[in-house]
Amino acid sequence: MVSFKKSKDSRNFIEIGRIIFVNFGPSYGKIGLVVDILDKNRCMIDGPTGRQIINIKRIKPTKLKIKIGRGLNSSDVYHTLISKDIIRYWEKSNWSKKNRKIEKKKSFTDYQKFKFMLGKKTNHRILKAF
Amino acid sequence: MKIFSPNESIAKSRFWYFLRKTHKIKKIKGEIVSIKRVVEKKNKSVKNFGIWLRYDSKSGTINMYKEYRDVLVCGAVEQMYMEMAGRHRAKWSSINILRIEQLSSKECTRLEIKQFHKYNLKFPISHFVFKTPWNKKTSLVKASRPQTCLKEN
Repeated sequence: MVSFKKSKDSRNFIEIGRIIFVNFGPSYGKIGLVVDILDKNRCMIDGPTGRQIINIKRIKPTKLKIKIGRGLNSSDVYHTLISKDIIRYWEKSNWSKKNRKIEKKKSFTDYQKFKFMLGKKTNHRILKAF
Repeated sequence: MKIFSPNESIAKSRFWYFLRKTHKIKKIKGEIVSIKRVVEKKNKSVKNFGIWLRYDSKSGTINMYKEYRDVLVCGAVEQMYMEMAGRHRAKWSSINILRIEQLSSKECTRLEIKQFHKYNLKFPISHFVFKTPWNKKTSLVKASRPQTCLKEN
């Protein structure tokens, strides 16, 4: 089961089985699963990012967590991520939606930017009327 | 002899250095028969390494035992050299590695290493500094201060 328990500590922890988002580096924008923790600065991640050691400063923990054993091998990680349907849960989250929105906006053509600007203006006019 | 070095020439030089200390032989009188690079297998699992070393400090030579967690032996050795340089101002040339062993989690003695063997180990990121990717444009001036605490989202 993917756990969404709201703990008293409102922060997400770096722990074995935590789904993380890579903020920096070659695997930027990808999801990973923490498979092992080396020390306070580094951890071993696997999943869409590939199996690698990454600095904890480059990652951000999400609210998703799976129960796995320490040092699970790559093929088992792949099967676990599919069976728990992590990608679907991730795509549902607001964080992932925001990322996609920003990416979409960055890839706008000039015409799309113009349409967006007009849309913003009409929205503002409607809200102002209230 | 197992030598940890950045390249072959330094390895050969170090080989003669150690051989001179243990036997009455110099590079002129000897010939290196073979030099092989030992590539480590299984670099996808985290291991604990204990390193016995001796180094020349300003006031004499000191023996030490240090433990490191890494995926490769070479990684642990690199960590050791960095730590010795930072903590004890010991230069590469003054450090001799006596022995390296891969340890199980029960054999480790240092608390800084044992704390990562804990079952259900977890810790939060207490101070999160957002690291912007190189290709992303950032402004030098921001209206509001960055938030370093990560809230659940």
